[in-house]
Amino acid sequence: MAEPFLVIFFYGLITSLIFALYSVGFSLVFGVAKVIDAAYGIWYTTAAYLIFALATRLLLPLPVVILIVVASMAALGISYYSILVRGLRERIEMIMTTFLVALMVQYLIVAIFTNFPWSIPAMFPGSTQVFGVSLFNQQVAAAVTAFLLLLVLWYLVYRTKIGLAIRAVAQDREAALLMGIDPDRVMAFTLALSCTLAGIAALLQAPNSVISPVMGWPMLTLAFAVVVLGGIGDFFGAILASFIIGFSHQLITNLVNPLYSMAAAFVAILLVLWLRPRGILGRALE
Amino acid sequence: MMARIRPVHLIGLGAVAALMVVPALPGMRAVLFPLTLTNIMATLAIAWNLLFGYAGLLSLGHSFFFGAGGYGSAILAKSYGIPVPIAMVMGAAISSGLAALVGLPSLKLKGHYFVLVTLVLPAVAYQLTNALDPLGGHDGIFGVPPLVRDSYLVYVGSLVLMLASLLATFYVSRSRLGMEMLSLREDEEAAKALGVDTPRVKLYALTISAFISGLAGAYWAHLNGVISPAVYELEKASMPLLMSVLGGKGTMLGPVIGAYVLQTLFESLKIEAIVTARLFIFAAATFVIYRLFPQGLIGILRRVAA
Repeated sequence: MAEPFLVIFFYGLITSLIFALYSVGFSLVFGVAKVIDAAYGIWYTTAAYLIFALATRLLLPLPVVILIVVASMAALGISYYSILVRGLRERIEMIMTTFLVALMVQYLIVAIFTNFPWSIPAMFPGSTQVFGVSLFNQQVAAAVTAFLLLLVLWYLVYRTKIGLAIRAVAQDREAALLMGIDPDRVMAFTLALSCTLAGIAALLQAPNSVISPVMGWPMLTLAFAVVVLGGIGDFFGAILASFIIGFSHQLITNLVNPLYSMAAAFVAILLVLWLRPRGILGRALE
Repeated sequence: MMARIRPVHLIGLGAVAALMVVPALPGMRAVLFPLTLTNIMATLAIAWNLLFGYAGLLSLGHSFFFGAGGYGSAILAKSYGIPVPIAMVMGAAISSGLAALVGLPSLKLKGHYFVLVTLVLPAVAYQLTNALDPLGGHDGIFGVPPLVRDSYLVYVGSLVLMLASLLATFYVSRSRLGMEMLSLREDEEAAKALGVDTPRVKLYALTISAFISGLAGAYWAHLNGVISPAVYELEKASMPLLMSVLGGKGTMLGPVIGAYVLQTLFESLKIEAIVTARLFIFAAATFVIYRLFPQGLIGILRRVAA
């Protein structure tokens, strides 16, 4: 009999790492490109259905699926930026436009795949016992991958030239331009990165449960909660917030009722907006 | 203000008269229910437009206020035996109260925080109503008493509701609050500099809009006799937006025109091949209209007329 707190600990860890990977994309786009992507949830959904189509309909092998998903999400991000997002300046117009995009894509998915809750087979079937807790191999692999990718992301943002350019544009677009950085290219890269992260999050998370056309909205809620709690564009804030949200999600899911977990995240959003709008670390960009 | 009677007023009166009389004619009973729905959705669109079109506050989750009013009124009427009209008003008041509660923390911040809060609101409400037994859980609430039995009277009631919301929009837009809302929409910083108490104006606009949405939701619940968490699905949240943008946001009649056009298309496009794709078609059409003709159908009509 597994200790309930060990269950909460392990699943909290897994959930938090995946939330962190997904939310950092939203946070980067919010902080760097100053784009509020109301369609960020739908990219997660899109990737999940892409995986479903490739893996269960075309029966492609796993590495090919991963390659196609990552490449097409990056391409999607770049075209999304250059066709649409680049021309949007005003915040509300931006949200309205990206929301309409989300609606179109979602209804397109409904038209193609219907509302049926399809499932994606686990990429790593089976389960492992860790300290008496039975963990699905898929989730262990997801957590390890998410952890490694977060390290790569940290290196990318804080130790490379492109990361420097990203942080420069986030701080001051005009000044970055004067330093010879092309903000347009940096933003296109950031959008591509965020869409890819949404795609990878779907690769890691979607095989655990059924997929549905509305699966992206709860993810967007969590990403929003992470951004509000962690502070906009704050990499470490986002990771800290992901752990807070992830662990409280697991606590509530295991001890109360899974249906209350999003309400808890929502109350956290309202409280932070009300009491500490610059995030719990207090160093958001705006 | 309305000293001179212009042709547009006569057209309006004619339209209302036609809407009153035509469905009462023999053989027209089949259109009563769809038209009643259209009026309710138009009311919701009017409420949404009052908030976005006049105060510039974008809500992507108006289904929450619609649903809150519906649930409130349904429970009050069914479980506490409160007369339906009073229950509806109380349900709308509950909707206003909840709007203030969830709106307050973000209203003093920049506009996009409010938008994001409203965006996630229906998803949260969906899970919560599923979880809470007093709200009927997944099945929702059945046997909600109707307002009146006669379907023509229900229809007339929905028409009155829609016209009253239009009138409310008219008076709000001509009031001091309406002017402050416009200044907020045009430039929040400038409005602040001129001494407009922007959080207060936002709060008033939000509570009025939530009240009207709540009334529409209550009417809808009593019309159908049932309300379930499905009310919080994306379709309800996006409809007022699609209708207002299609018709012309920030205009009095835009949401009504958009609602009538969309609902008519919705009812007539029941061909097998289109049913699954019609929501996509609506979203795509609204997207194109929003990007190319920000003034909507009203703007196109005005341009043609001029």
